[in-house]
Amino acid sequence: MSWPRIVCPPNRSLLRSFTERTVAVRVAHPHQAAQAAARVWESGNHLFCVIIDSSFSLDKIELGEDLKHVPLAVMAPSWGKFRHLARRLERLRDFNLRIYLPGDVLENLAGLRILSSLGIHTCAVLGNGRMDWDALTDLMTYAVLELAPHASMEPFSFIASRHDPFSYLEWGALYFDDPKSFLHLDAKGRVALSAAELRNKQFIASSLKEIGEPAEFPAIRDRLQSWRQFFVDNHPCASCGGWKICLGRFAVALPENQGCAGFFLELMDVARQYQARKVQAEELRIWQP
Amino acid sequence: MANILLTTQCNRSCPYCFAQREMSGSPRDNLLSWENLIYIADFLKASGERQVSLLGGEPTLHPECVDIILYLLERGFDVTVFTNGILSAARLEEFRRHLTDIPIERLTFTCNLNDPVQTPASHQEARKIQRFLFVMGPWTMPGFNIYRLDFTLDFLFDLINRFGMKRHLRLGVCHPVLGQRSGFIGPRDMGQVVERLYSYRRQFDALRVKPGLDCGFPLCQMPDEVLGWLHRFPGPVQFGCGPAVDISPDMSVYYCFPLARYKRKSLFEFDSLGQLEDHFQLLRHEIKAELPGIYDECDGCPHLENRVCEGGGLCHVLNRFMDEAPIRIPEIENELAQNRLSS
Amino acid sequence: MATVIFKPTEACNARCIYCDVVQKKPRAPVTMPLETLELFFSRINEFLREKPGEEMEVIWHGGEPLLLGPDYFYQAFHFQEKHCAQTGSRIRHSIQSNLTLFSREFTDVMKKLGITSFGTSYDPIENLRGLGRKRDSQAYNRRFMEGIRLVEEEGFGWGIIYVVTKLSLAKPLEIFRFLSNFSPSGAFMFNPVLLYGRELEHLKVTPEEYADFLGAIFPVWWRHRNEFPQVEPFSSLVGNLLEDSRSLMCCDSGACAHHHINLLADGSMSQCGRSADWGLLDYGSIFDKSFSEVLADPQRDVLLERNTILPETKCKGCRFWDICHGGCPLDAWSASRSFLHKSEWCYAKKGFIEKYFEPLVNPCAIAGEGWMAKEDSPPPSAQPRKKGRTRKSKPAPEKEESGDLPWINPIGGLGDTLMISGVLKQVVEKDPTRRFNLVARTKYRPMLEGHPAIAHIGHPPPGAGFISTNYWDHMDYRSPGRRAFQILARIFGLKPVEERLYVPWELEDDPAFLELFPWKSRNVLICQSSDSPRKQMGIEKWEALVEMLAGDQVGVFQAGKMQDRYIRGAYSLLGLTTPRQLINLVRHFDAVVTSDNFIMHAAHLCGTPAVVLWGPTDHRVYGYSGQIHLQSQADCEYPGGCLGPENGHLYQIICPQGPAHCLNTLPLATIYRAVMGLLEKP
Repeated sequence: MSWPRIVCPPNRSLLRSFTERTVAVRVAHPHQAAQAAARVWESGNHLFCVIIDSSFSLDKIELGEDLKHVPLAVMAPSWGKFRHLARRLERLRDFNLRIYLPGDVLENLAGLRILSSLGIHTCAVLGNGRMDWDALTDLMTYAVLELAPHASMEPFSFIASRHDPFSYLEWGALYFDDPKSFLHLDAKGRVALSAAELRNKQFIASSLKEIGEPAEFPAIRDRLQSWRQFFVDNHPCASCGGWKICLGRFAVALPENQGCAGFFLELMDVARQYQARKVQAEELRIWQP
Repeated sequence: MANILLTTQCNRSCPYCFAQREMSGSPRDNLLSWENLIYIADFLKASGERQVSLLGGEPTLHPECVDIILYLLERGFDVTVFTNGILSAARLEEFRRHLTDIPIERLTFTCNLNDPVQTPASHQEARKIQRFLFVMGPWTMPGFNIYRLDFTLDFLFDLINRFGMKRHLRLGVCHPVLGQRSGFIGPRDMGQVVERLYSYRRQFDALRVKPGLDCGFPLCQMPDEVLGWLHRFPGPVQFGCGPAVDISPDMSVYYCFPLARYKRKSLFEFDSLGQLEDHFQLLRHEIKAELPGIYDECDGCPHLENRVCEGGGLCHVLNRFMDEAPIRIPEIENELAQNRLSS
Repeated sequence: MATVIFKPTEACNARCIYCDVVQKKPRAPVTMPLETLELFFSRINEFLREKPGEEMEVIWHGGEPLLLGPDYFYQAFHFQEKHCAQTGSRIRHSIQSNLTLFSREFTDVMKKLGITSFGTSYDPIENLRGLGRKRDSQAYNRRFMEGIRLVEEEGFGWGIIYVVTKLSLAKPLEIFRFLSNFSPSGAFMFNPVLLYGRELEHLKVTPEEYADFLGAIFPVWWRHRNEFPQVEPFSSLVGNLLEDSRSLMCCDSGACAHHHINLLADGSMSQCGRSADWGLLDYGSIFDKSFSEVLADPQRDVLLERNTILPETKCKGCRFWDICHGGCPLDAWSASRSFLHKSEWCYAKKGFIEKYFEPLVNPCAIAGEGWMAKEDSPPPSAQPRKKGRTRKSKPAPEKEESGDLPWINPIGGLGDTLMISGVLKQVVEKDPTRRFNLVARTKYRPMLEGHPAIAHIGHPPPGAGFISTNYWDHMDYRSPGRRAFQILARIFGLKPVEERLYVPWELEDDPAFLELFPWKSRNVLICQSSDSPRKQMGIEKWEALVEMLAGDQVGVFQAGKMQDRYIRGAYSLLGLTTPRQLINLVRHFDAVVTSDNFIMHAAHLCGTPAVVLWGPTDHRVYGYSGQIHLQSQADCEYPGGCLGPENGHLYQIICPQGPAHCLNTLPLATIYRAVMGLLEKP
């Protein structure tokens, strides 16, 4: 297991406390992003991306020219109104950018579709699973199977292209929530396994130095194996047809909300179709020298 | 070109409206959703279409009308919006703020205007129309529906000049609607309509307004003099009959408004515009195999054979079938039976 | 391959409720002593030296073999190295374990023994499998999961046997998904619980229940079988029944007599675990007998006899004998106290195959015949019926009201129109008072307007009475010697009539039009087009004919629609004439060459000699006397011609024969001679 990337605030001293790491810095405002990126580079680490955790709707977020070469993950609570975004679309397409919108708000599902159709990469934040699964299924089908050109929409595009019926698929890294790929640090350098745990001060170490070899670190190892508990407990998720993609991600939403099973089964079916189509397209390609 | 209905709501009640039946049968909140709009846009784009028209009801009543227009423009379509011009102040302000920097060649409003004397609007409506034309005049071309033989066009020329509108007058003739008892211009009156239209030649020429003929005008009712005059204007002169390809908010698709209840399908049943057009071609072929046009003389007419003229509107042909014994092919009779039952 | 079910211990750290090993009294010794272990490998070597082509499979079993600890296995490996130096390459080890005791210390020795995967067993249902006397299933599950994790990390594969009990029956799909989720790349197998006597009645399943359990899962597995790991018994059934590969479990092979030995810790040998427990088929001790002797033990004969006796008795006529062989002999004995009986689980297999497997996989399976694999097929699609010309009209409504003229509902092409016109003319000649209305329909008005029999062309009111001209629907159409013209006449109440055509206008010339043509001394009008592509001869043939005629200084003119294919060498009149104009024009030609189309009728009307080419239709039905008819014989599934009332849907479909289309088989020379014959007539 290679060393996970670090997600942390752009504090100079924190960044200088480690080196040669791949770092995603988290800021609250777009105007902080360029400086955050610069700090990462200055500290001798590699920049993975800048996460802009904005509380403003997307149509009110301005991205400066200085961010053109910075990989960005823009998280907004809503997308706002198209009329306000319309003028900025051309510029948005110039950025190395993915827009994250909460998937439990119906207007955002429309927004994700609109942005994707206009060539802007997006990601639906699925939260804890209490959402309109039918609407999400519709969006997912569009994202994966629609033949009209459009930008990728995660997590659907990722899952569809990588789904392997003979293994599990972990896609938490799209949300920086996969201990194999990301560890989260607070300003004091304390380590948590996810953004939510960081917020709740559920630390696994007081500094990165304590981690040593991540695969051997008990908290990380246990988290990576935690899915087995579903089988130990014979949890309903263990018998769900969508398990290989979901891995019990939305178990907390049960039993009130059971739409997740239908959604993931549908997603597996769509992934099959997508991959079959790709194979077919490959076969139809003209021979290559 | 495809016509997308943003809503079935309308804020006007024109005596000649051939969309009445369609509108009255729809739920009040029948608004085109973003999901469906994107589907339609993808569908049309994949089929190589570059032009769309937005209709209704009154499309500007859709709460996100401006966003939809901007979206379609962003997708690369040239957009035409068919409107009555009766916009609320708030909606007009949205238009002013977001649409007045769109190049004129990419966005057109076809404002359907009624004769203030023959079909008077309320004072409030008239003011709204004036305000609309004041703001959006340069993007707007006037439209006029001929539903009575003593129509007048003078007021339109005045409006074109006063508000700097596009110098193109879209002229439509009211057609029969399948299953709806409404007034329309019958085939025998077409000649009179053409004659009256030609009587405005001086104004058209002087003010360089192009008369744009909508569907259903038959070639044989055009004397050579009129034809010659029409051909002096830029753009082709066509005597066609659709398909208009109307897509309603619930994704139903039909040949045109008068035929809204005839062989209505869902857009989801088709993979491309080409397939949809094939469906309509078949529909037209079936009808034409029974009757070629609105006149007896259409049978054997070389201009019809060469597709220079389509023989008037299909709606007229089907309308004849509605009143006769059920003797046509089953494909036609079954559809007509549904309309007889519900008319 | 000889197989030893090797149970060096019957001790176990688990207390699975249905395990027979746990139920019985433990024998001594509990663990096989090392001396016996060493003798075991010595016997293996002895056997393999006696049988140079043989291999030996050693299935480590129990109890729980990992209770022996890694050192025991190292000893085994040491003994193998010592005694089987020359034969060790023909020894295959495998192991069944509950994995609760697996640790990394086992990795090295397992790999040394060539073990690459573990067979195991699991059940998510609580209190069926558990550790210790109290059957602690939570602890068991945790240890099992940990064991699986380690096994995977150490690079081993694993497969699960799932024992189906009564508690499983309510949730077959849940269990299936659990196992396939847990083991996405592994394999699992469903086995029914085997319980004897009255104990654990609440867990027993019947063969029918087991078959239904499998049947609930099978459709799901079948639909996505490429994605699920090997699931038994489905995968092997597919292999054995559909793919012609034979891979049978010991209980189905009918060959366990040849191969199996069960060896316990005390060195005693029998057929298998159950035979040892039940005191059956005791083959003696490893101390006294070699494996060869054990495999040749005469007690095995009764097992071999099953293969000859059962097909004549209990299994007579069974389609599945080859994949079952009467099932496990011990199952048979447990139910009937005889080995010469089929297994009581017969229905489980047979019933499952007939009730669930066959209907889904091969709905048309014919008993006893070969199996054809059937791919998943999409539901029957609602293919639109291809439309031919609309020949069928709806049944006429009530008769005309008194005083109203009947309406003629005209069906067919222009040629049919001319026939109708000719018939109607003779109707009024016979009875000048007879009149009809004509339903307005495309292409009939120009041909029939002004006809003395037609009072009005228009739109019939509701309740009008109709006369259909669809002779295809007429009962006389199926009579031998039928003629379309005569049937039409009969429709209008006429007896056999002269086949005269008629048009209600004066045939007149358009001099300005005629002047444009490069007339020669002899002129032929050709027409390739027709309402149906099946009535069209190939272009190449037409062009060859035109070339031949042109070579003889014959002027060749081509009439037809604008969209018809132009025939090179002919003077094109395509799209220049309406049907009326074409009739006027035909009079000016010396001959017409065409197929069964409007021009043929027009030529007859005008008295212009014609050569008519026939294929899909019969000249005896439609052709006029006085014309030369060249009828090709169809060499296809429609020897009598493909266009008729039964095949209206073919009308608009191009003939799939392509160049071999019947019209293309008409000899060119014959056509040419026929034309020249007409032209050379005085």
